[in-house]
Amino acid sequence: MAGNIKKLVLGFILLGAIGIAPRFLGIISLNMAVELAIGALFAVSLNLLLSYTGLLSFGHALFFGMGAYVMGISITYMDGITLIPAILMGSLAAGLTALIFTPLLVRVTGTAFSMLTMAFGQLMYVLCIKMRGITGGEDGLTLFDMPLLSVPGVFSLDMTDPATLYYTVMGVVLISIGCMWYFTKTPLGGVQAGIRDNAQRVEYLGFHVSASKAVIFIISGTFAGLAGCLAAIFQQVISVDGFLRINVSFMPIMAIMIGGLGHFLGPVIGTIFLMFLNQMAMRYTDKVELVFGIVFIMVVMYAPYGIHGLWVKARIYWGIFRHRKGALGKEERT
Amino acid sequence: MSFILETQDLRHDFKGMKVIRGVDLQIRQGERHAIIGPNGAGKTTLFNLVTGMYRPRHGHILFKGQDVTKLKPYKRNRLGMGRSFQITSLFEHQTVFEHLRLGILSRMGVRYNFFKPMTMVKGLTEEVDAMLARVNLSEYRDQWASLLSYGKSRALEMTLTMATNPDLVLLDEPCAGMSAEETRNAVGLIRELTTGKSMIIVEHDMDVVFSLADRVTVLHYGKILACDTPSEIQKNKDVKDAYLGHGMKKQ
Ligand SMILES: Nc1ncnc2c1ncn2[C@@H]1O[C@H](COP(=O)(O)OP(=O)(O)OP(=O)(O)O)[C@@H](O)[C@H]1O
Ligand SMILES: [Mg+2]
Repeated sequence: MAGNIKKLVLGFILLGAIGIAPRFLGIISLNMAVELAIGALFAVSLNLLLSYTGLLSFGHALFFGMGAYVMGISITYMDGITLIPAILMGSLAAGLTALIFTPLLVRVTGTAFSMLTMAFGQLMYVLCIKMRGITGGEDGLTLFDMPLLSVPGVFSLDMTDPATLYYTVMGVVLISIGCMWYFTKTPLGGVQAGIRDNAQRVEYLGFHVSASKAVIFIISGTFAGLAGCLAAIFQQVISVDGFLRINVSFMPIMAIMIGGLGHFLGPVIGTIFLMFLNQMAMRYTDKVELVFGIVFIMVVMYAPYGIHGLWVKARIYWGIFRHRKGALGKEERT
Repeated sequence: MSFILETQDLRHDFKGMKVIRGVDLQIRQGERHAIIGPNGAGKTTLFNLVTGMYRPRHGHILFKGQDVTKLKPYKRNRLGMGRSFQITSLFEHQTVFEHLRLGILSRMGVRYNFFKPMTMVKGLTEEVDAMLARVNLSEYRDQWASLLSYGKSRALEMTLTMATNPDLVLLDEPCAGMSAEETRNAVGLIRELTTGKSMIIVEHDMDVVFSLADRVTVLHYGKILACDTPSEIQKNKDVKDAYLGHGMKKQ
């Protein structure tokens, strides 16, 4: 119980910090925070699939890009559309794409699944380049007139204002991550965890494994699409390289591995870490990807459960250390 | 006489190796039925066919009078068939409580709900705790299954199978590798959990078999050698020759 209160307090402090940050942060830091939040949402959506169902998608950029492109296309070609329906269309299109791919889930698992998702991701990349007429090809789509995020008569937000964008993105990201967290606590979330650990046993308990996997795949795809929409609003340019390239798929995987596989907020920690690593590395070298690669390999080799895993280990050692000192805490006597 | 399970001329092979060679099995409503046979006789394979892991090459499986030959495992479970595994099959990163919670959720028919947290599903936590108390696992409630002792993990394996409240339960060597005391506890647990249900048990420990079973089927190289009451089976000459006499008494 005490732990819960601690978490609650921590949560409120974090919320407060997010709330007042724009007063203290410059425009560059503010934009970094927005980018970080979007990256975190994308990574959490992938983690829902990876840590809670055991499915490793190498092509999650497909959904990210689908969200961004559908939103961008609807803004470009539908006059007078406001941002909310555009975002909804983008996210739902991503969810629908996931739905179309569900038969894949039923038939292939493990490495084959990863490879196939990667293949489809690449296919989408090529398709978007070829369909120049709609997608702008290599040049991409530029959103010159960003519509207002508005409900007529209720509110109207201008996304080109950095502080407004910041608050909107933070709000959407927090609510989305909250929804996904809530999901893991529901019966279907429980079934997912079972599927991750032992799909066969879950099937023998009377659960339709493929259908359950399909549902989570669609949810994951939808939120990845939403992250794509936010990224497009933020960058105002939608390009194949920024949204559909393979390294867009790899970023959340790295974030999950570095933050801690199997932990709900692991990818958030990982995204923050990668962001700082990126800043640091850029100061000293232009081979940022090399630094990322080395860090990634180190994590896989020496800290397979990432930062969260290290934290758990440190706490265990701290417990032993205190124990040795004679201050026997109650929690050790289980 | 109504049979809860019936197999008709069941056959199966793995890449041409005939493992089940025409099995007609009839399990009565409410009986405890043991299947014995030497290693490799096809006992586990028979379980896998009955529960739907493989589709048999030939023959039919009737469960409660319904042809289930082509049904997926989850569908057979929903009709009331449960099984445990010879090799313990649990969820590595989950607590004992979380295991049974999954079983009870399935029993309650709450399968796709993603609107309500599990803590708010009415009666769920209470029922899981009641089940834990019933099988004496309450003190391990919040422990990871991977940290349980062998005996306890086997007990959880069996309890998880029973959590969905099946009418027919297939137990695959629930007592294998247990000490004498663990075996005694396990037999008690089996009795406790399967009262009023039909059960098929595969077991090498003859003491367990003869103390639990109403009838015994002897499987030998994929065929039924004999099917009778325990005392008749003990007298059966073919069975003695094939199985009981050859130092196979205890594994
Ligand atoms: N999936 C499979 N693929 C190929 N061969 C298999 C498979 N499953 C079982 N077999 C073979 O089928 C035969 C019967 O195996 P099965 O596991 O059914 O025996 P069993 O009676 O359960 O034996 P045990 O007492 O050792 O558990 C064995 O020769 C085994 O090697
Ligand atoms: Mg076997």
